[in-house]
Amino acid sequence: MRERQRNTDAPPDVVPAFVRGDTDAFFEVYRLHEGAIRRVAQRVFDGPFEQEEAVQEIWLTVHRSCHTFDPARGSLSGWLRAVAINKVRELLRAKGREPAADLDLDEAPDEALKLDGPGPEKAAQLSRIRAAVTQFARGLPAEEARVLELALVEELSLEEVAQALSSTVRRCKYLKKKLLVRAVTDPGLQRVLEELLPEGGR
Amino acid sequence: MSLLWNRRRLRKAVSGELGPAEELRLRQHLSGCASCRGYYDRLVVTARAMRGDLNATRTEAARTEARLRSLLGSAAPGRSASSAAPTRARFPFRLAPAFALASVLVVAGGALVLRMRGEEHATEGLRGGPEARVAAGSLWAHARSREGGPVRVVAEFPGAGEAQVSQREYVQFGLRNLTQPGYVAVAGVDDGGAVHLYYPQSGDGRIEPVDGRVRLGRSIDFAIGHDPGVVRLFLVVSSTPIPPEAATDVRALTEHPEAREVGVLKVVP
Repeated sequence: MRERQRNTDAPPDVVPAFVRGDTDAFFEVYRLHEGAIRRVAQRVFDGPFEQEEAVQEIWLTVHRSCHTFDPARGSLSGWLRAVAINKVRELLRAKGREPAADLDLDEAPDEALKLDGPGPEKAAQLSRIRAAVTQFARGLPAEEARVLELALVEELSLEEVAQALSSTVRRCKYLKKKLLVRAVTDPGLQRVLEELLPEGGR
Repeated sequence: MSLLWNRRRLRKAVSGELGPAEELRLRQHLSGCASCRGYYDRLVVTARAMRGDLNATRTEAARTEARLRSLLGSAAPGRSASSAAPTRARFPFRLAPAFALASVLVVAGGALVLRMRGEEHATEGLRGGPEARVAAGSLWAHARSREGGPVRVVAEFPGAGEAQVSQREYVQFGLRNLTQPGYVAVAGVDDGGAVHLYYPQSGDGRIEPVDGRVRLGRSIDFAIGHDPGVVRLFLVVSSTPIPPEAATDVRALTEHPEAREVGVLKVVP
């Protein structure tokens, strides 16, 4: 299931509240733009933990500086991206690192940050991952295969999964955890996922 | 803390089953433990791969939102969330939301006392722990223009009086002559009463003693979140760790009787 790129900056009534520092408005903006901001972090940082820390820092900076956004000077999405890029640069500098030479954060248009259409390398990587997951799923008992499809692929809640399988939430929770353990220790799957991990995590 | 227990906690985290305080504690551990971080990264990447995708999962987005709400002191929607938060928190009754982490500096029974230039003084643990003596170093600040160029020495505190930084600069804080391991924090209070936490921005702020200088975290961009004006600087050095639960116990930094102001920064455009 691909994430749809949101084109909506924010509802008109949300922006003034966001600038005032209203928390509800902040989280409305977060929900609308979290994918785009996360993609900035994913472009620069390798590991999920580093990406998460960067995303958190970016949004805390957004919250701190929300009063500096002026709708008359540009779009909210453009402002958010500028804050994100500045923060990412700051984080890289603090780690004694520089952005990769082929990563032009300043010039990259919004479209370049979308993952709707992955480049050839990413497409090949996705293809390998999907094949590995399909192979992994073939070896699962029927009930676990269904839990994989509903809880991990479609990301339904445990209540929804339990209802779909006529099972209990507790059982589905157990099976979901068991699946994760199986997947993280499956040699074939992990071999393919190695390239997605930062070097220290391999 | 066994490896097996850690891995169980990490799986719970990835599944979105940890509460905010537990998640914060876990992330502090992950900041310093490469082994657990490696396993965590592998779990997250695996969960993403199960969707046949490389993007973050909805669970990741929800976890980030929950962490932000915890750090900003905001309830989840549908509960008693305030819809009229002030633009900036006013000291001393509320801390600037983005710096709710500054609240870790001040906890009931906690005492953070700081003195410069190797002078010893008594401190109490942040949670009212045993009295401890920590010899603190001095706080230094350097700056460099956003456009690059040489680093300039801003000041060394205390003793610098009022030092000046520009919003066109990045400012790096550091310590000198810390003689014992300690948990360090640096924060500023601006004209509007907002609290800015400069260090730590992640992790527990633990510093090992050094003979020379040690940088404290990342450089600070004073163009973000700061208006031109005056910022009062506070340095905190404690012998006991700052517990993660303190992040939700908001206290005004300078209301604490043993917090110490070390200097003033004048922020200019």
